[in-house]
Amino acid sequence: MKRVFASLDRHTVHECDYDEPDRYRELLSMKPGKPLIGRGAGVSYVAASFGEGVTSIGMGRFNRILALNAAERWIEVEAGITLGRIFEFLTGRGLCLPVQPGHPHITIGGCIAGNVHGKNQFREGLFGEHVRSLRLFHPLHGMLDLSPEQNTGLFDLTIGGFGLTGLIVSARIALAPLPSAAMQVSHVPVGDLTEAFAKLAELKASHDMVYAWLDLADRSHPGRGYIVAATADPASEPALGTITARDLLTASRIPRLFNDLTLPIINRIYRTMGTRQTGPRRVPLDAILYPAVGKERYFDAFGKPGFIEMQILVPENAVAAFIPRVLALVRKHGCAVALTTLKAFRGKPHLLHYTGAGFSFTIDIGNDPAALRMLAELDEINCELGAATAIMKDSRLSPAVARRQYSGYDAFKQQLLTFDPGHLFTSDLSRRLELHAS
Amino acid sequence: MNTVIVGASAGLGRAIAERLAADGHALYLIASDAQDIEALVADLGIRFSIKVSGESLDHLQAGGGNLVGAGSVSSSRGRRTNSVYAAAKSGLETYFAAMRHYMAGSRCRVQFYRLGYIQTRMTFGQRLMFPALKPEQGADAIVKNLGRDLGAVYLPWWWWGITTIIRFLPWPIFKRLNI
Ligand SMILES: Cc1cc2nc3c(=O)[nH]c(=O)nc-3n(C[C@H](O)[C@H](O)[C@H](O)COP(=O)(O)OP(=O)(O)OC[C@H]3O[C@@H](n4cnc5c(N)ncnc54)[C@H](O)[C@@H]3O)c2cc1C
Ligand SMILES: NC(=O)c1ccc[n+]([C@@H]2O[C@H](COP(=O)([O-])OP(=O)(O)OC[C@H]3O[C@@H](n4cnc5c(N)ncnc54)[C@H](OP(=O)(O)O)[C@@H]3O)[C@@H](O)[C@H]2O)c1
Repeated sequence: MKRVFASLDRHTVHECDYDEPDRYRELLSMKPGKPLIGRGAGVSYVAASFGEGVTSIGMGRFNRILALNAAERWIEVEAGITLGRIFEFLTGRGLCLPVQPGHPHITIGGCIAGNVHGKNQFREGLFGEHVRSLRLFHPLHGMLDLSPEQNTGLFDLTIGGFGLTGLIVSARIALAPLPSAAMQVSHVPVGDLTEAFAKLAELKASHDMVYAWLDLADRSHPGRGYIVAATADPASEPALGTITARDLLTASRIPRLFNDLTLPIINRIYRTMGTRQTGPRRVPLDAILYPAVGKERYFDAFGKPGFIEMQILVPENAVAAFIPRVLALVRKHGCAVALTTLKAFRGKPHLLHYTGAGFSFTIDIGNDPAALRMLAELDEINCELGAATAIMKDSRLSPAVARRQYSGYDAFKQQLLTFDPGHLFTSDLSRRLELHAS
Repeated sequence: MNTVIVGASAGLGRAIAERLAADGHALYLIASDAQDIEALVADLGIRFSIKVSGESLDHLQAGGGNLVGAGSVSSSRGRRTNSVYAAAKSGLETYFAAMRHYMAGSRCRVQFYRLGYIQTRMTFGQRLMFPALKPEQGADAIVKNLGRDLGAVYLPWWWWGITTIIRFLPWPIFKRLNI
């Protein structure tokens, strides 16, 4: 069946073939032929789960819990299950997934293929570090069991492999004890970017989750904002119940709300509201884990052209050089940045993983020619400073820039070629970034 | 309550299984592919802590219960587009009518649904003339009716109107329709 798919940033839109198997024998009978790509919830910022002439295989019906071992703290699930469903299941049992990106509709398949992060990256690392084993189906190779002991290379390539090694069918994931059902959350105001980086580095030592919301649309005080810092609140009762979130993909017809005139005002109101009460207050765990719930229409506010999210891993030792250059760039181009956030990171670069010792700096900006010129200049600055752009976020990232920023770029391509020489698994993303070596 | 669900691995059957599991009922799930049944047995057992097993019928115990048949609105009048399916569903309906008669007076309730469109693999990718029910909505309605002496009913109910019109369309018109 034909479906029109759009990336979350509304940047890339294609009419594609779509299939949604719901039985194992349908998976197992797939033959190598037309290009395929796995699809979870389809809420990625970039066109990673579809592409022109590619059949997307929706994995949403494979969403069952296969095993739970509370004593050894692991769960085995089919890859189409959502974070929200796992949260609902685990909370009452005093357990949780150690790493969770910001929306309950995101699936485990998407978390593995994107090797995503949460708000505690500086402690727990990336999602992939908690995957103990997985089952992968590839029409050429059949059903394969992968783990650090078995098919090691392919296991490594599938985590953060953008779905290009095949369909992730199920996975065993390590769990953490649920620290508490609610968090004590403070909003610590910061006056500029330098203070934001410094304060974030300081607060991460004493908090379980930290990130910053900053305002780069404010021309007189760019970078003003606040740090959200959360610690467990053991006194809180486990909140049971279902998580309801709105669909992220059905674009509403609201008129374009964000532009250079409105954004400074909207952001100022948002910041004022965010800093009205700074002291610790109790917030349900799901509200802090999934802050985008209830704000789903944000993604429509950029209108039809959509937006670009650029997420940059700035190494610790490059922060001092990065701040003045990014500020000068925003001033020079005069584009209003809608959203600016900051997270703390740890880790070592590997293949195409978005990680490293430093900070993740993210901006969302309306997709127009001025913004594209600014981001192209920022690409150069990043390359110079050794910063890397998140592949799963930025729809305009070019293969040349990706190659300069990721030392594992060539190795990834080479390994993929060995496993899938016919490029059976292909997406708009893999084509744009030229991830298929020939 | 013990319930056997034939065709439990997908679509409406799977939604009914889930809905009953949420209410704590013991389940026996049957379908032709063991892998799907294994996965569903694991899932429902873990999530709802119920007694659930799959594939084999031998644990079914006599005594009260429900026998629920899935028919189709397509059997309301024979049409060229799906003759075998419609005929089979008509036969099934008659079989269920007989079962209901046979079971009258016992503690077993026999119910039969003439189902309209449902959003499952059967209708996936098709352009439908009328709105399709979500499997979960169908399951909800069916589970609510368990224990009632219903006979054969439409789900959703408004298919009654559509099938009545189709049934009474005069032949000179009907024969020209490609439905
Ligand atoms: C509101 C919001 C907040 C977010 N917050 C964060 C965050 O804090 N940190 C972060 O890192 N990311 C974040 N993300 C991004 C998100 O985590 C990733 O884009 C994730 O991959 C989306 O999962 P999905 O199920 O929608 O996958 P899709 O978008 O459907 O697919 C993503 C990739 O995974 C592959 N894939 C999915 N399922 C399978 C499968 N079963 N088998 C093989 N391949 C598969 C696809 O081929 C594709 O390459 C956020 C996204 C949103 C919308
Ligand atoms: N979907 C609609 O729009 C619609 C409309 C009117 C009526 N109906 C009726 O509603 C019922 C459910 O439909 P659905 O859409 O949910 O179908 P579905 O998604 O195709 O599911 C059918 C289920 O039956 C199982 N099954 C098939 N053949 C079997 C066999 N020989 N022995 C045991 N199990 C078997 C299947 O598993 P395996 O394949 O693994 O066996 C699967 O679990 C059917 O009776 C259908 O005719 C559906």
